[in-house]
Amino acid sequence: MTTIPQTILRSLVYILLEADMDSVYSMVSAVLLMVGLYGIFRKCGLKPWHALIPCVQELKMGEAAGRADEGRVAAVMRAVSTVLIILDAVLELTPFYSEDIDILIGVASVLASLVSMVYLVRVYLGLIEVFGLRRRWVILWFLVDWFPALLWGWLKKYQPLWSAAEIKSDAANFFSNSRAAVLDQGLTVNLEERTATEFFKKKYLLRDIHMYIQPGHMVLLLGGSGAGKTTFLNAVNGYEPAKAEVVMNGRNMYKNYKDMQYDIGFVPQLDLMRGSDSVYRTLMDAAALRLPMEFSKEQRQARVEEVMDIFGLTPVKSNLVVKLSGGQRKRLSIAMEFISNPTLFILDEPDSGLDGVMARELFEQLRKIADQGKIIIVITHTPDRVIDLFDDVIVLAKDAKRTGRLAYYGPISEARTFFGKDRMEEIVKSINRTEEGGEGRADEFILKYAEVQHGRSA
Amino acid sequence: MAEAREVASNRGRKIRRMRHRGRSSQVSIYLGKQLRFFINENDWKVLPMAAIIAALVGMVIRKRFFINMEGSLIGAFALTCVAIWNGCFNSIQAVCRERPIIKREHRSGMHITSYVAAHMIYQFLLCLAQTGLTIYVLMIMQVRFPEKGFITPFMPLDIGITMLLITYAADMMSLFLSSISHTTTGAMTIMPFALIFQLVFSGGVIPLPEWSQSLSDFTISNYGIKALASQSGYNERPMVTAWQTLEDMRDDEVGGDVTLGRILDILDSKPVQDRRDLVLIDSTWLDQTLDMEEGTDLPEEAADPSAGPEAGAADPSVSAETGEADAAAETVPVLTVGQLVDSLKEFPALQANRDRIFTLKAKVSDLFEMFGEENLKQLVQRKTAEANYKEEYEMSRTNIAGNWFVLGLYILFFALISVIALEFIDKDKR
Repeated sequence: MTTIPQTILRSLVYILLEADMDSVYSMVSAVLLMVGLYGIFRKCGLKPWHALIPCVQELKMGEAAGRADEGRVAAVMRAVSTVLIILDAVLELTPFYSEDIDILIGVASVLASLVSMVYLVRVYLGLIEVFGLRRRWVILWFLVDWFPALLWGWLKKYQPLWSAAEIKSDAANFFSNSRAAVLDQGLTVNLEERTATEFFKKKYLLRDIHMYIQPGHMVLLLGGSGAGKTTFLNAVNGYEPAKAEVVMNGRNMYKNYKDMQYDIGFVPQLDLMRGSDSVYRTLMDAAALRLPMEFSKEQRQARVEEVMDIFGLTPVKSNLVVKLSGGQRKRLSIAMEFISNPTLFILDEPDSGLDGVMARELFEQLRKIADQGKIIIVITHTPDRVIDLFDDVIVLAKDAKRTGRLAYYGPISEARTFFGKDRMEEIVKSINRTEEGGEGRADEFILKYAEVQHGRSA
Repeated sequence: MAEAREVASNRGRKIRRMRHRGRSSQVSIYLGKQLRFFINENDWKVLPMAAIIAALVGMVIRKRFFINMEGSLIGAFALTCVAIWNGCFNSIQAVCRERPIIKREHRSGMHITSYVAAHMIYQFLLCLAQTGLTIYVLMIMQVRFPEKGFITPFMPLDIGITMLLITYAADMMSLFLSSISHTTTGAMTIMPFALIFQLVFSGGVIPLPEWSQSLSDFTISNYGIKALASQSGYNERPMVTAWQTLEDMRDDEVGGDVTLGRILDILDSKPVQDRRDLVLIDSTWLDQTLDMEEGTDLPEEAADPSAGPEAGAADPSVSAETGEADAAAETVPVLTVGQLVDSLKEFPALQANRDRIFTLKAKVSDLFEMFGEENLKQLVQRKTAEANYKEEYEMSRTNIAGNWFVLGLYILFFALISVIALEFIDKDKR
C-alpha cells in the first residue's frame, strides 16, 4: 500500500528529477510564498492557513493591506486565468479544440493575469503602507514575491503598524435604534442602513442614523474622509435611497421624490457648469429646468435677475462661466440650485478654493437663506472660521467595521462639551483613525452617543 | 410627460403637484447648450478638419474612383474611413467631458432622453456639414462623379447621403462610447479599438480569416463600403490590376526548354481533346482566301476527302455547285482541331524525334503583338472583373437602400444604448 508520505516523497523526487528547472522554481517559489504569507497573515491577525489556498491568498492579502477591493479583483482575475488554462488543457483532448480557440483562450488568460498583476501591485503598496516601509519594496514584491513575504512574515523586525483583524468593538455592534419624531415641519431622518454590494459582498456604508432638523436651522456636517458624508447627504435628499424614512415637512421624500426633487437644492463640491455658457444663460437654463411650467418666461427672467442680485452676479451676467473667478463660479453654482427656492439646501464644501473673507461672505449669505425658514446642511473642512453662523452639527465617524455612524447630532455648544473640544477641527481629529493622524476615538463617541440616544428613547 | 394634478399627501393635505418641463421642451435647452459649445468651445474645428481629410483622400482616389473596379473598392473604403473618422471624433468626448455636469443636471430633473435627443440633432447637423464639405472638396479635387445619380438625380447627392449615414452612425457609436466612459482619457483609450475594429473587420479591402468573417456583419464600415462600392458601379467596372501587371512585364522573356514529346503529349491533354470539333479552317474562309490568292494550292489535308467525315463534307467542289448565294449558309469545316491533332500524332517523323529539345522564348510584348494588345487587354480586364464580381456590390436600388436601412438601424441602436448607459449615470462611483 502506498502511504500519503510515500506519494508526496515520490512526487518531490519526480519534480526534482524529471521536471524542468522553470517548473521546479515555480513550485518552490509558490511554496515559499505560502510560508511567507502564513507569517504575514498571522502578524496581521488573519487566519494564517488562508495563505495555503491559491486565490484566497490574494483575497486575504488585500484584507491585510487594507485594500480588500483590489485583493478581490486580483483573486478573481487569477482564478479566471487558472480556469482558462485548465479549460485549454481539457479542450485539447476533445474534438472541439482548434488553433483559433487555443489562441483566444491564451489571449484571455494573459489579459486576466495582467489585470491580476496590476491589482496585486496595488495590494503590495497597501501592504508596504501597513508595515510602514519604503515604497521601493514593491519592486522586490513584484519580482520575487516569496522573498519579502518570508522576511516580513518571519522576522521580528517587520511588524504591521495596525492590524486588519476585526476589532471586537462594542460600538460597532451597538445600535441605538431610537427613531426621530416625524413632524409637520422640518426634516426627519431615520436611516437604518445604507449598503453597497461589491464583488458579491455586502458592505455597510451607513448605519443607525436618526435625527430631526428644525426649519430655519443651518447644520454643519463633520466627519473624516470616508466617513460617509456625501453618501449620507445623497440618502437624505433621496438621490441614492437607503433603507430609511426621510420626511420633509410631513411628506415622505422617497415616496414623493419626483415631486420633491425640485424642493431640494444640492450644490456639489466641484463647480459643475458648462464654461461655454454665460452666467445669465446658465441661470436661465437652470430656471427652465427647475422652475415649474407655470412660470412664464418673464417670471423666470425676473427670478434669475433676483438670484443674480442676491449672489452678486449681476455685474458679470454676460461673462462666460469659464472666465469667472473661483468665488464667482462658486456663487453661480449655488445660485443655480437656489433658483427654485428649495426648502432643503445641501452644500458639499461650498468654501473649497475660497479665501477666508470670501468664504465668510458666502456663509453669511447662506445664513440669511436659512433665516427664511429653510434647512441648510453644509459640509466644510474649515468650519471654525464660520462656526458662529451654524445652529447644529452632525458628526459622522467610521466605526471599527468601517461603517459610517452618527457620533453626535445637536447644538454646537453641546458638541463642544460632548467631545471635550473647543474647536470643530479638533473634534474631527479626535474621531479620525490614528493612521490618519487622528486620535482614533470614533468608537468611543459612537457608543457614547448611541447610549445617550438609546437612553432618551427608552 | 409632466403632469399637473392634485395629489394627496400622506397627511391628508392637498398639495399641488408642480408641472416641470417635459422631455420635448428640454431638448431645446440642451440643443442651445450644444450650439453655444460649438461656437465658444471651438467645436467648429471639426469642419476644417473634415475638409483637410477629404482633400488628402481626394488626392489618392480622384483618378480611380468610378473608373475601375479596384479604384471603386479602394475609393469606397477610403471614403468610409473618412466618414467613420469624422463621426468618431465628433462625439467621442461629447458626453464624458461633462459627465459630472450631466449627473448634476439629472439630479435637477434633466431627462436623459432629452439630452441624447439634443445630441442627436446637433451631431446630425455637424455630420451634415462635414459630409457637405467632404463632397464639395472631392468635387474640387476633380473626383470624376458620374453626372446622373442612381437613386437621386445627382451622383454626388447619392454618395453624400451614404457618407452622411456612415458618419452619423459612427458618430452615434462614439456617443455611446462616450456615454460609457467616465473620463475623456477613458474614451480616447477605447476609441482606437473601435476604429481598428471598424476598419479591419469591414470585410472590404482586408481579407479576413474564415472564423472572423461574420464579425464584419457587425461593423458600420461593412455596410458603408457595400453602399459606396455599389454606387460607384464596382461590378460594372473593368479590373485593371492583372493587366497592369502584365504591362509591367512587357520586356520580360517567357518560355524555356521543352521536348517535342512534351508538346505532343499536350495534344492528348483534356483541354485540347475537348476542343476536337473546333473548326480551324472552314470552306468560306478557304474560298475567300483562294479568291484573293489565285493559284495557291489547297492544303493537302483539306483537299483529301478521306481525311474524315467533316473533311468530306467540306469538299470545295460541293460548295462550288451550290452557287455563291448559298455559300455563306453552307459553310463547312475544312480543318478541325481533331483532324490536326490526329495527323500530327500519326506523323512518324515527329514521333521519332520525341526527345528533341526546343528552346521556346518570347517577350511578353511579342505575345501582346501576336494576340493583339487591345484584344488581350479587354479580355484580361473583363475576365478578372468577372472573377471578382461581388453580389453585395450589385448596383441596384434595393441593395443601396438596404445598406442605408442598416446604417439607419445602427444610428437608432447606438442612440438607444447611449440612453440606457446614461440612465445609469447615478450609479457612478464618487
